[in-house]
Amino acid sequence: MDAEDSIVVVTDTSVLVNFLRIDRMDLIASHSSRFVITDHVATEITDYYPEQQERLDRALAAGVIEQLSVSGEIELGLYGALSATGRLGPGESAAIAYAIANDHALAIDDRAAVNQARRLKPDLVVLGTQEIMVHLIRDGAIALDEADQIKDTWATEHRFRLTITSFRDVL
Amino acid sequence: MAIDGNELARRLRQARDEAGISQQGAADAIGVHRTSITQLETGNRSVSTLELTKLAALYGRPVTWFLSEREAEEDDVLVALHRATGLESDPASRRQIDRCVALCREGVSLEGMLGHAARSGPPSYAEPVPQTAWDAIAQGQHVAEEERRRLDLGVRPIDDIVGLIAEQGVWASGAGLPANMSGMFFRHASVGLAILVNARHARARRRFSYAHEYAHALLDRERTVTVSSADNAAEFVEKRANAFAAAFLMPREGVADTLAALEKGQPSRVEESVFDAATGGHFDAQLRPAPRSQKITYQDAAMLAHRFGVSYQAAVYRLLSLRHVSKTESEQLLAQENVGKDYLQALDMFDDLEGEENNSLADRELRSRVASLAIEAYRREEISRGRLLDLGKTLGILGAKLVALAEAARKE
Repeated sequence: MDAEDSIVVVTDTSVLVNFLRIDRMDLIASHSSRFVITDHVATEITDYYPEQQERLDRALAAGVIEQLSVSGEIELGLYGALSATGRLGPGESAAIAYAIANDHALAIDDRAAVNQARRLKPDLVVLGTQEIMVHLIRDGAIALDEADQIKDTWATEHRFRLTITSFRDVL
Repeated sequence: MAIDGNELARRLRQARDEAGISQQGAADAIGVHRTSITQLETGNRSVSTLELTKLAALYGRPVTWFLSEREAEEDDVLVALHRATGLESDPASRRQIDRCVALCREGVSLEGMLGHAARSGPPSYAEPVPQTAWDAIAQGQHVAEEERRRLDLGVRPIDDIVGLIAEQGVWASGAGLPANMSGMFFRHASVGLAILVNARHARARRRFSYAHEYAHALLDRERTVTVSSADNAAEFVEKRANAFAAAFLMPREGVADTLAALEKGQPSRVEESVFDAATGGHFDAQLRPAPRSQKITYQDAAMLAHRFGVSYQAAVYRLLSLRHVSKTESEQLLAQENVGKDYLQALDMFDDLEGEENNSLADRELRSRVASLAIEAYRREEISRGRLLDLGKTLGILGAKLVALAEAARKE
């Protein structure tokens, strides 16, 4: 079983928006993990990616992902510590704080954010878009060729580039 | 967490009070019912990170002010500024000041991440507090000459006063201040040294105000906030700062050179005596400029103002201070101020000094410096994409645009 099987994945905007942009939240739905987002992420989609709002609303209504507020005492403390670094956005800080406080996995693509998260919890399970796709390929939720096409679409149309030539390289 | 719920509730209430926002106003701004704000401020309801982030932005404070022990103990720069400027009842001006403070804070934080040396600012000149107007003028002029020498400015005009101040480690920006306020200088550990001038004033006046506030940075560093307004213009430290500004922007030799180039400023009679080696005696010579040829007119004052980027009035007073004109002559020149301005208008030079300016451009130098730091921090992976998007709000740049610019820097 992979690390992300049957666990809760707290998803940051950076990962979520990749699936929204290609209108493939069905891939998240077919993933074995439960995906949650904080209300910060929903706000960031509204503020920075308004064109994806409808797709997010649909995914929330269909239960593909769940939205939650972060308000526990431990979470607030972690949020304060992460904010004090001045290195992360509020959405990233909230996602990291919630994942650490509740021993969940974190889905995030930004390396600076991953570094800060691992400083607070070195053994935190962190997934990027690439790892999620690899998991989906292994589970048979998507074919390798189709996954590679999506990778190319992200690079050419959405300025999101993975360093691999093909997902075959990391299977 | 570093503080308990009751302390967080107290800080939420304190921040709202000091921002001059009602509970209903706060509730409307973040989209909750007023009773939710009451409950948050009494500790009967826990605040979410999103609510806290929105309230912090609304109250003009960093999130860390609410959550860390250290920040609340410090004398907050915003409180000091609001108190000193008396802007409790002027939310529009206060928002502008708060925004500039936020930019300075971000700049200091980003510089730290990038390993820049801590901002020490220009040297602090240890002059005693002047006890007379004469002392104030003498000190201001002396320090201006010293500072021009230190900066190797020679006798030339200062083209970019904002850039010059910024290069000395002092944040400088325009902001929409009340009409009677020309500018302010403040310092705080979280923002360093900063100067704001009234963006609503004409360009020449703003230049003078920048120089005036720079004098406070050099001479009155021990004060947390110095506000320059019509209300305190009679104070000797303000007179000293004005004398500094005049001498800094219009150096003595520079004014003399400008007058010489206009064929003005010579005494009515120049005499020379030269030793004669053959006879052991000497011979004399005398130059008498044509009658009235050396009289400094409104055109000369206007051209001097334009050359040094100051107002017509400031140029006339500098001519008087340097004894190029008498008191009576200065009064005559001041009476001709409108003619002098008409003269500059006719030559399409007036707008350089007093033309209308887009207020939205007032803080672009400050924004550009912080934006440059943000992009560099992102390029070096010191800050995340989410942080960059958040900085876009403070910088007034669309998040997507800022990210695209920063991504381009990463690819270089």
